[in-house]
Amino acid sequence: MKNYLTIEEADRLFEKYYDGETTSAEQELLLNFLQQEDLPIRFEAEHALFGYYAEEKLRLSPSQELLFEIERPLQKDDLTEKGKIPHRNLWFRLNPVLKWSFAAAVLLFGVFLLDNRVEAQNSDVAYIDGHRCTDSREVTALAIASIEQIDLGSDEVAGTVNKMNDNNLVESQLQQFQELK
Amino acid sequence: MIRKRTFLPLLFLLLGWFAASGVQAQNDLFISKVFDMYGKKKGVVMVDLSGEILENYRLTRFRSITIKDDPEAATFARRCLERDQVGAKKIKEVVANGIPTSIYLQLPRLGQDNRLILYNESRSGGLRITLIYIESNDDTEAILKLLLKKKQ
Repeated sequence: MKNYLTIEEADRLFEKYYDGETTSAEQELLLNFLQQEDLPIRFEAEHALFGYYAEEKLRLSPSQELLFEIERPLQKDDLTEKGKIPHRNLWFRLNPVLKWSFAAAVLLFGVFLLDNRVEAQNSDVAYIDGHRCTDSREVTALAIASIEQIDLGSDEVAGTVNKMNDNNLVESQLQQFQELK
Repeated sequence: MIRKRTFLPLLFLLLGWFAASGVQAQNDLFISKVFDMYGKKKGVVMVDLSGEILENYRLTRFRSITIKDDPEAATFARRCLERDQVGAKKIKEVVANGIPTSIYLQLPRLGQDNRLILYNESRSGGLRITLIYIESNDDTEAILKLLLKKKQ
């Protein structure tokens, strides 16, 4: 298929375009045709229309853009001078490796979030010799058993906590040395 | 350009990974490594509560691990505790033959949560270490009272 249009062919294709029957390849041909200089003035409306779509596409956010993605990747030459895509964006858009790796990163993040959510729903758990146990009675018993292994019975612990919470501790200790004055 | 082509996809994957692991990292403590490293090993009992069971106890998180006959794990746990002691209040420490056998720490609050670490090392009938991490909206005294009540 040739990649340029004569004015007559363009007229026919525009007719087809307004009937909604053009393929993306034909639209590309029309776009190329409109980029030519010294076109007859009657193509001004089409020029504006195609220029508008190109500009709109640039304004869309990446997520919206995915919805409107045309079948083939955009070419730099596709756009009018005014609507040219900055080189970096274009490179990102056209690079399938980048696109897929970005999708993989998002997927990875999603899987982790889902995993965390599922885990949070079943968040009372014990592991005995590496075997997972979610039976709440057994898990509770194991938790209490671990507390029992900690020596909390002495008054020493409670005393220390009391002292730590006593805001006047330093003053009360210093008072004992008042006599030295 | 070739460099960029290989570098950027890797960067995206790494970013995805870090973002995900950032969500998972629930605390900033070194002792979490003890749970991560030894929690699913043989001879180890690990408990992790943050759901329905805790509703009656006014705790938001309870983690415990009991490791038997693993001197390496004991050394590792003590090292982690040493690091976590920075900025924490020591409620109790018992040292036997130069080795700390009981350490109770009150950590700086994390938002609303009061955090405690309890560590015990027993050598009667073989080496057994127990490490407990607790988060609660209550103060330390109330948490200890609750634990004492549970023991009785």
